[in-house]
Amino acid sequence: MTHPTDDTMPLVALRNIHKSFGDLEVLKGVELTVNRGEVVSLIGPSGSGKTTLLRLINCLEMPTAGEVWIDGKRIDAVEKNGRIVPAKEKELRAHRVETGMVFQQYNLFPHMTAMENLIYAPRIVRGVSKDQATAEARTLLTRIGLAERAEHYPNELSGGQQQRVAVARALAMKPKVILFDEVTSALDPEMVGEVLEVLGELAETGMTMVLVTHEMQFASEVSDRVIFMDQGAVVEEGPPSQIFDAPLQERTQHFLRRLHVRR
Amino acid sequence: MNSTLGDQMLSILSAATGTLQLVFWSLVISTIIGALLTPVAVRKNIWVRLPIMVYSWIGRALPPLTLLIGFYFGFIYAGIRLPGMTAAIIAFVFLNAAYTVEIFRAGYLAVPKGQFEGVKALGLPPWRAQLGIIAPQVLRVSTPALITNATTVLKDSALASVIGVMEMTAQTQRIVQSAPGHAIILYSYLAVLYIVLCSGLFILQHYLEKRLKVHRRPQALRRKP
Repeated sequence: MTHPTDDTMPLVALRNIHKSFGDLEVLKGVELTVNRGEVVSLIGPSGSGKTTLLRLINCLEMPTAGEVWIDGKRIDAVEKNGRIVPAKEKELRAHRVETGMVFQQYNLFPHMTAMENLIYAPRIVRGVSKDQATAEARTLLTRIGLAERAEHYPNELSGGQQQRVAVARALAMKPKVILFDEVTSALDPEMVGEVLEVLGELAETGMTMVLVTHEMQFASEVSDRVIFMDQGAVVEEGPPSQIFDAPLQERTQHFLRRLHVRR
Repeated sequence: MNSTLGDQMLSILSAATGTLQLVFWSLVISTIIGALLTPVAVRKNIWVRLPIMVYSWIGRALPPLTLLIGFYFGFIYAGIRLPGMTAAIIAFVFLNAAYTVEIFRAGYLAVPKGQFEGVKALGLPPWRAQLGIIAPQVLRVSTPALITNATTVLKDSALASVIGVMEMTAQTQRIVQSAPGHAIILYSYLAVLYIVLCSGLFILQHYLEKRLKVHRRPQALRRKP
């Protein structure tokens, strides 16, 4: 960073985002800001566009219209010779390093041990030495309670363990924000708890987090702000107490009622 | 030729070096070419991969015997006199690289989409991602098919006798023609030699699958709407 960063400036700012896949418009002018240290949950029915919105933050999807700002820099497009042009893959790559992501299907590298999964990208992308990367990875694995599994391959770990390693792999890159895309949806029910526990601890460390989740109980406990989306637009956002206990919008009430959410 | 059966068998065995030389170089070169063509063959842009599709279509459509004769006499017509062995290696490389690129392409397509997103999200540069993350997984999936293919090349190598390459089948024919007495024994012996060499490939496959941990596949991707 060459310019001073203003701590009051939002870390993530999505401005008037439109996104279409062919004729299907999945996001219809969405605004999203996430402040430093904030934990934001995106909830809503499937097809509401919440996962697409999450994937726009690290430009795994590019907006059809609108702007993506991370830490005061526009990342989806750059200015060249006085014109705004879409960012090149190489420029996007530099920004993706700052935005970690954890996927529903873990996406660990199957031919690498847990340790190798954690140190591969930091060594190549961040240029960290092997000793340092290994030491940091060991600290992370200890933090997620899997220190003794460092030399295990993903297929030797349970789903919950794999997802915890995937969280550690994202953390190993020291991102400014981590995006969680339905990280417990592919897990057996008895493994959901251990992953949510890791996420909860992470939230307490002040990490900036954006979660797409169906775990309403968890979202209400861990989030600073909850955003309810439906049909490609933000319907309502506010503190969990508002969204879950006294939602203002009828669509929010309807959605939560269908889920039998009780607190 | 008044040689004993033992001498005859020994001379067929020594011709195995011709077979092995032909098979070894054909496989090594065609695997390298196939691997180099794969990144282009999996591109989305049809015009970029069209030349490879056409090559792989022709390479797999032509019978090996036709290719051997075609390359051997083709070079002669072009004024280039190649040793039979060289022409045979070129013909087999042309044939086998076409299969190899198809095998690698299928292996590449079998890598779950999430792996590509994983490397993207970590900000890995494309060539490091391809070599370090994607290629090992392609190799894992492709190994069984590659070995099956290699056994085909080994067996097809007998065809090279038609352009004068001194390999096991050619040598056996030559001996039997001049001294037909042991024909049955010698051809059975030849059969055993092919089985032994093919078994070598099967053992290699077993070893590679263990070594490359072929079973270590990521979970099947559950697609989200």
